[in-house]
Amino acid sequence: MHRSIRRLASLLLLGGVCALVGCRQDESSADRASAKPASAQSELRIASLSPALTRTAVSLGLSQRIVGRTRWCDGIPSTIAIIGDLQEFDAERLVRLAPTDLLVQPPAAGIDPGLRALAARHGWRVHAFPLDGLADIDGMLAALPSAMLDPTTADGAALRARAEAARAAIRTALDARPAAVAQAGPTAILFAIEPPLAFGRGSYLGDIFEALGGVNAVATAGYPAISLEDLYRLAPRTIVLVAGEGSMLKASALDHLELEAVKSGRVVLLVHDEAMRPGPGVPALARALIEALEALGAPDAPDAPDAPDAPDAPDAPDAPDTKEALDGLERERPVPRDDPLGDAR
Amino acid sequence: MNRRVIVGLAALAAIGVVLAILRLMLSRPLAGAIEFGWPDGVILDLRLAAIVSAIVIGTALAVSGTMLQAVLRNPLADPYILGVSSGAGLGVMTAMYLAWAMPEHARWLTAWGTVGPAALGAIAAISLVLALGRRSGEHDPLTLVLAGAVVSAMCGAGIVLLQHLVPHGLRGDLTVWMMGRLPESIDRSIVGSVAAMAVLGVLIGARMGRAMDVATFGDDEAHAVGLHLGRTRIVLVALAGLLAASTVALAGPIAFIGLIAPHAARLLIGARHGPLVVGSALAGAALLLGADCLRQLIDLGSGRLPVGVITALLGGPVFLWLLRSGRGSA
Repeated sequence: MHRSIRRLASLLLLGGVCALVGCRQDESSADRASAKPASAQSELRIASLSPALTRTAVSLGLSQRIVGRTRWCDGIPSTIAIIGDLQEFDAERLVRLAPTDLLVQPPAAGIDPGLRALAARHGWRVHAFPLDGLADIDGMLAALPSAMLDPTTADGAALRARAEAARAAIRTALDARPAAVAQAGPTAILFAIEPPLAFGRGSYLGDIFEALGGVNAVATAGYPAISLEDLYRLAPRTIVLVAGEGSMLKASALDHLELEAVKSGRVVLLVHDEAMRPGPGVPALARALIEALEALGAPDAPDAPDAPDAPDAPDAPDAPDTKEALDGLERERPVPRDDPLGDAR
Repeated sequence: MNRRVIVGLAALAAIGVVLAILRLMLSRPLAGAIEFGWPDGVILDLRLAAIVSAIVIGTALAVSGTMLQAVLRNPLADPYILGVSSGAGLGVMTAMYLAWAMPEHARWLTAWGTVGPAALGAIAAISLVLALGRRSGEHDPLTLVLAGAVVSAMCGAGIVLLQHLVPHGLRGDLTVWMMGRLPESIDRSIVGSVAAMAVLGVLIGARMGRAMDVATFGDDEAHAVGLHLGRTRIVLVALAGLLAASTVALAGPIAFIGLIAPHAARLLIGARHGPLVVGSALAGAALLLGADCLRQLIDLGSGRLPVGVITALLGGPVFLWLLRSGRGSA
């Protein structure tokens, strides 16, 4: 009895070691396969498990080369086979489609080892790009062409040129520094209200807003959940509510709150397809954001107590001269114990 | 009432009051150190609303859990065992899907936000569980629990199906809803309704305490003392389900309160259900207030943790301790 248990345990252990070694071999062969890009565009058969990367491929002129997609990919014919998504892919359909390149946006847990193994077995190149912020998008546009097509070939050079053009368009769009963005003041960019979820520092839209010269009121990194109390404390001068396709977020969602931005009518709803799909659509999204803020108009002048460096009335009997008054105010102005906007400023 | 009960109830009430005051005075700005002081103006209103929400939701979940643990004779029962949260989730998702698919009807479909669809979905789930949970014309605990599991799984599958059909933005909306929350700005009519339900639950629960005591022994014992358990079960399961449904509609799913609070109260005041319902209500309110206070203190650099995460992190180990120490039996 004990002997058979020991034998079974040994077999299981051996099986586990083999599986581990197998996985490692799969991953390394996947990496090897990734190192050999195709030499001509006609050789590419792209399967995309990311709507954002599908859109990128389309914008780079590769729409004809896409053979597999997720249900949410758009801009390509609906007749193209659906191969699932990153959480659950259709292995059989993928094998039948025989792609050369797989586009994935890896989740926090990483790419499904099963997908990696399948790709390694069939020699598919796996291109995994996180798209959390502008740097990621730029990095993806810089790396994707040479990972898919040999840059020394004509097709490879053309693809690279299109990607560089997209990068340049993003840079140009973000160099605009429009007045509406600067005038918006500290701005909270929210994509949910109950509880409020924000585009913080380093997030896709947070990056775009700051690159345009805006001040993100939410200095926390990523996509933080905040409370309404936080929102009051942050006291954003403007609030942008961002709704992706189909979202039920409404511009009136904050109407019941006594926030300064609400009272001064500086809440704007931005419904844009690119808002939740990071990629080369940055210029279009930036334009929509600017237009939304322009529609709000210039904000009213801040209240007197908040106006910087306002000296006391000069009719005081022992009023110092202006410079002294300003210096005095600078010294006497109470330093807030906690200035949530400190970093953002 | 014996001395233990009085002391236990007083202790729970005192803990609740202390935590409510703590929550009122405690805060941590997003980018800063913990602050302790009396708020004023809008901030005071927001914190009071969060405290009222925590008390109402904690009370309703705890009373619901106490009733279910008694009538299902299952110390692991909690309000979501009847498929309430997944039923509410399916209600919300269905309304979102219909509003997206039929934009001409979106106005009335979304008139109540997520509250209306969540309440409808939860009530539909409970009704289905009550309809399916009969064997030989009677509701028995095992069949009810199994019916709850089946309804929960079916609703879960429905949610996944609808998530598959809707665009990305809508899926995000549901994910946010499923996180659960303590509303800081509340519609008085909605929170008033839930509060009335919770008070009614406490009163009915306290009044039906003896019936619940008998229900924990079994059908034969109940019949021996002249109690018709079938009717008692229907009343208590329906009431527990409605209480849970109202909290889910208000705050989304919040885990563990309905499971832990009755056990915590039982430790302090004993197993008699009359006072236990009142004790559970106090314990539920205190637990949720405590979780909300703790939420203010924890800074992982990612904003506010969902309150459901704290209740689960607190509740899980406590529950395991209860199980291992053998004190958690109903």
